[in-house]
Amino acid sequence: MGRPTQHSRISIFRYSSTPSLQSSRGYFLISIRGLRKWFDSRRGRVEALRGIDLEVTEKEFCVLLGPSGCGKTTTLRCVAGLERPDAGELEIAGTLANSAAQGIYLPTEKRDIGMVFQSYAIWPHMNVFNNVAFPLIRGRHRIPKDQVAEKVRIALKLVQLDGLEDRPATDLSGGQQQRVAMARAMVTEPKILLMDEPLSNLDARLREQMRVELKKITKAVGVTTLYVTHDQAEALSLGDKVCVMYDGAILQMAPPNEVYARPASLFVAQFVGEMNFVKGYVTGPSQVECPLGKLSLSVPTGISVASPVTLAIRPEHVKVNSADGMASGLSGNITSKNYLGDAALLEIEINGVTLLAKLAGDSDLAVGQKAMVNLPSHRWHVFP
Amino acid sequence: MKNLKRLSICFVLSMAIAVWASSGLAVPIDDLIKGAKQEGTIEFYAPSTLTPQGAQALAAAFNKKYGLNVKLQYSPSGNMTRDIGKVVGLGATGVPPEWDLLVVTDAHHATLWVKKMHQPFDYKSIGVDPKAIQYDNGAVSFANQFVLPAYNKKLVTEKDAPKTWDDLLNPKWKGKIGVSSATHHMARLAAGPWGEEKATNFVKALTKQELILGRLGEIYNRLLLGEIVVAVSLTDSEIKADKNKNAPVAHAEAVSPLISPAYEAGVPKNAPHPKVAQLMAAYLTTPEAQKIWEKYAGQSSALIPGTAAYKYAQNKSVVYMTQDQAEMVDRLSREYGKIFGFSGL
Amino acid sequence: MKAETVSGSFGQLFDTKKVNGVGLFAGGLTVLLVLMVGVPLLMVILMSLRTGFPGEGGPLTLANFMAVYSSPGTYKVLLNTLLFAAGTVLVTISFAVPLVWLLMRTDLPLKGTIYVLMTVGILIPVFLRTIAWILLLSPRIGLVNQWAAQLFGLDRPLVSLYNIPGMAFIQGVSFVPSAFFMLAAAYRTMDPSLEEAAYTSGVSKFQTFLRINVPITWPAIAGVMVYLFMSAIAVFEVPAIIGFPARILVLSALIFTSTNPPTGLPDYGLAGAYGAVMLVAGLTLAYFYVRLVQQGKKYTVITGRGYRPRQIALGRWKWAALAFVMLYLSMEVFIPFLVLLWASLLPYLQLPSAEALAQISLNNYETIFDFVDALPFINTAILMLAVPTGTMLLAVLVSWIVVRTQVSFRGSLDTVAFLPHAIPSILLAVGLGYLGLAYRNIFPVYGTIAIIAIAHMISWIAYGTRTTNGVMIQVHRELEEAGKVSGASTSRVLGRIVLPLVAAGIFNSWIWISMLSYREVTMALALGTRKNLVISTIVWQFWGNGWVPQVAALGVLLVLFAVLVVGILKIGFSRFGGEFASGN
Repeated sequence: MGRPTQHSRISIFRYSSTPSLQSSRGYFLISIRGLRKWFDSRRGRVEALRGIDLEVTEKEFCVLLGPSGCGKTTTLRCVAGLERPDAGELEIAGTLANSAAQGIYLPTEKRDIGMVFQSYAIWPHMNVFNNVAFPLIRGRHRIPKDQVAEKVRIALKLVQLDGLEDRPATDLSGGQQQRVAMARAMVTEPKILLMDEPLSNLDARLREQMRVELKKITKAVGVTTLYVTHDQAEALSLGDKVCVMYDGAILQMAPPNEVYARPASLFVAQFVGEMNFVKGYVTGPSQVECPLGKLSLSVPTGISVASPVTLAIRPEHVKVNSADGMASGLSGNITSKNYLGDAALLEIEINGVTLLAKLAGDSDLAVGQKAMVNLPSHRWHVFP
Repeated sequence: MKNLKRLSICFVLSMAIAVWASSGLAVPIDDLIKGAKQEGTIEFYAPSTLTPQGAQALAAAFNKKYGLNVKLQYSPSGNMTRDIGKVVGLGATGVPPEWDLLVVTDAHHATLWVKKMHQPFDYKSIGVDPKAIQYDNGAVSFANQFVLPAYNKKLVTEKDAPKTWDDLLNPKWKGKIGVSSATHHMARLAAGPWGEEKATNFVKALTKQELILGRLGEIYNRLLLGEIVVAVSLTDSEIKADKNKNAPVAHAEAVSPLISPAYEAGVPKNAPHPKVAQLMAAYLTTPEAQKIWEKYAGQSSALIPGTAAYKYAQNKSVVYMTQDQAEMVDRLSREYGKIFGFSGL
Repeated sequence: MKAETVSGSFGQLFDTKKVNGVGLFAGGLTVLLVLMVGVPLLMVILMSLRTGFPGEGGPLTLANFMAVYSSPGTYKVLLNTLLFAAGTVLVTISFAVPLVWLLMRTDLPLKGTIYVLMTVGILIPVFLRTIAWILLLSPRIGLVNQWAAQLFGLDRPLVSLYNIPGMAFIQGVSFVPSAFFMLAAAYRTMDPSLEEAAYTSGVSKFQTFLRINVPITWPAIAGVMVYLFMSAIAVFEVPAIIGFPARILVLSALIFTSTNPPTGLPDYGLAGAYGAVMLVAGLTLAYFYVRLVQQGKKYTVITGRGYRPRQIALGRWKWAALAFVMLYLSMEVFIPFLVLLWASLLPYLQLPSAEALAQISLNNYETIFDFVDALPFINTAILMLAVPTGTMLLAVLVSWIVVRTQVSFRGSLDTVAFLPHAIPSILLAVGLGYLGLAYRNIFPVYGTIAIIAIAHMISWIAYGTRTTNGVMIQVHRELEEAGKVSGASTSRVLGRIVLPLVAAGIFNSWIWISMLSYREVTMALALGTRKNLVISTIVWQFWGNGWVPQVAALGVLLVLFAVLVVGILKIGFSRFGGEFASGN
């Protein structure tokens, strides 16, 4: 565990790969082992983090996704040094920033990080320039005065706020504040960028715009990012790796498409994207009986016969055709239709079970119609 | 024949006059008593040294003597000057004063008298000693304070204590001497034996002593604590009161002349219950009232033979204030207040 | 549920779209305040232009002003006043700012106890506390000086109390609790992530404090400083007990001696002329205060449901910090109380000695009621209940309009509510008294406890609105938030979130004003008659008469009683309000 050698920054905001201590996938910039945190309150001990293990590779965009109270922000703040874990170890860029066992704790200001807060935390008594320049003037990585202006200009250009240097902070809109916060976080070219739900205070349209921007910026710069959000659409679109968290633990850590297509647990399945759930029980090594009938699908090992299971299938995998005699499958009743423009959501009732189906927007199926539903067996997920 | 007629007319006339005069003599106090019965209450403003118990003892004895059932509401003096100012102010706006009987010092009554705020009454006609009647029948003097310099017995021996007023100018007291806001003490010396010039020079010389200023009670406490070792003037109210019998503060008895402010009782104009008040004013000069007053407030009248005050004042040069000195005392009190530094101008 | 329907209709009432009703209400409130503040003010100005007695009438003249401002003594006094006020503010801020930071941002232990003790400090009347200081720091008899003389063999006193720095020190210490609560309210509106953003930018804690914390809270701190300066110009208790004996006069002393001269009659004209200086100064300062507050408002960021900042761990500095806090509390609470206790057990005031110890008894406690009857206690109780209730009610109404509505003149309303603080309380009282006399037929309040209550309410509405403004801003945010989150109705937010927030903020101010009313002496004296005697006037009388042991006994009983009441109220309320009430 040594300190990484510093390569001279030839080009501004282009990170070069540091060669030492690389794993097969690249150098770990964040390494969390067994992180625990608890609070003692009148009602007893409340565990906020139940042992988090996480590794973020260089240049990776890692998203912590979960409902409120799951511990994602706590984890982020532990990495930032704004919270102190009660157990576990944390390494940033190879340096042991925190070890409860060894009593090591590196204060926030000594960690090579940049952070964007949910409330942006723009300093109201300074203008845009001074906000962004402050880390360079008073922070850990001070640079000579004559270089500051140039760095600030570049940072502002990156977030498309060039020209607004003299604007007082109190005159900025929400979206502008958010960008200033980003510029400020990155102007020191930190090893890791931490973001705590930075888009949640923006309105829906702006949020989508900024999502795209954000991805572009971080990829262009190549900074390792740890991002916290409760919005699963955001997580899927932004992350290289998504960690779904719940009740202080990571339930699944995988690339977005895997989390979506192969959710590791019932909670993940239900939290990420829309999902249909049907209860049933195992009747054979590849058979499950449920209100929809006897379905042949692969049952994961470890689930014995006669145990209850929950079946899950994505709405887009529910194939619906009009019941004109040609198609085969289960017969059902269309009970509602939600037209979304590019898609249509249908609710179909089959044997007392209501399934949500997602079809193309121009589907001409209507409420009250009888339909034939096809549920491909390889699209089912089975959860114990 | 003519002489007999003249004689008989004279006789009848004189009889008539005698009858009329005697009935006039009998009327005043009965009239007062009757009026007191009707009024039934007296708002009684008196020094706080009397204490509520003293006030009630006075009320009980008063009621017993005249067969009354008057309720006495006691207002202890907070700041006599301010309260007198209030009476005058209220009088100017036509509001009846809140007190029926004002027991304050002669200097304060002087202020009332100058502003014509007294309700005069022929106190002589109900038996009050004329020597005690002041301010054109406005007030009755019934108790005397005695004012002298005072010193802390623990820090100053009797030998070193001031022997004359001029001793107060001794540089050894510099920074350790206090003067109270009752500057009328000095003003009485001016209006009396010393004359204005001497008194004013004395006051000016005193200011070189780096005086500590304060109200009477404060000066007393600082003397008690030893913050100052000598006070220019203190009244016997503080020194003699029972509760402080063991306190190490004493009058500098050798100093002469002795200043004696008097407590006087007077009824302000438009008082709500004047008859009861006037009766009480006269009552305060009676021996029973004197005993009660002495027991609680520690003073008696130096004008009445046999009282403690009378005995104390014997063979001493005492400065009493008279009505014609009123304006000078009032003026000089304020001036000396300015010189000492009690006011800014 | 009943609560829902009530808050439902309330929600309608507070719908800002209904401008007409709100505007009318706001207008009425403004008029009321202008009357309450303006009329006594007018009386004072009138007084200063007359040379006679109030009610005597007479021509308007500038004679008083001529007399006052042609005298060189006046300018010395003005200088003294300025120095005294500046010193006081300096002392107060030096204690209050670190205290606020320690109690709100660090992991200092025993916070709850410290909060309570700070509140207790206000219960001990200032001039009783001053006796304690005299016993400690008097050049001749002060214990500190005596011990220093023994230890170091000095022939001159180490420290003297009787100078402007001494006066400023004692007065400054006594202002700390007020300053603390005002600053704490300002700190609470500062988003903690502003500091955290600095830390994550690599800025050290010290630099963060200097360059982020201080500039952002500066408008709030400056506002508090201006507020304190205005108080310090007008205050008179410490200058009366310490300055006056040493012949150091300040403006308030001059006003007091004009209205309470040692002999002769009060000169209200002179008092008014002196008061005019105070008024001009006060109004000027008020102007700056309002500007600062406006600037501060720009800095209050609308935050999301932020996390509490991680408290800075003091580590080794914990003991130094505690020592500092204990030092302050000793000066404010422990020492004065001990001295009171000491004085109450002796027949007369003396320094500790073997002889003194032999004279200890409970005599003074047993004989208290020989000197005072029940009426003052009843009157004080009335004041302690009526004044805070009336004041906070008005303050809430004013703040609601200022913060939550779009009424065009709401800024002026806020300023009018603040004006009474610019008027020295003695002038306010005298003006009110004069008014009460002149219109006694219409409003027969002169001489009753009601006029003192009115005087108090006018005086402290400024303080009330300082705190309710802060509360309303928090409320405003919650309601704005609710607007963003779909589905939460205004009434639900009102009931579940706004009410507890408002209740907690108001409760603390309610208690504070109750305590202020209990110990206020200047106005109670100026408006006092036999019928409206209160405990503070009794105490002042006792002191003036030199009855120190009695007043000390009374003081001890009152402090203990008030601690009991406040303690019960706080515990009871914290059970009800949950976390919102805990010391916030």
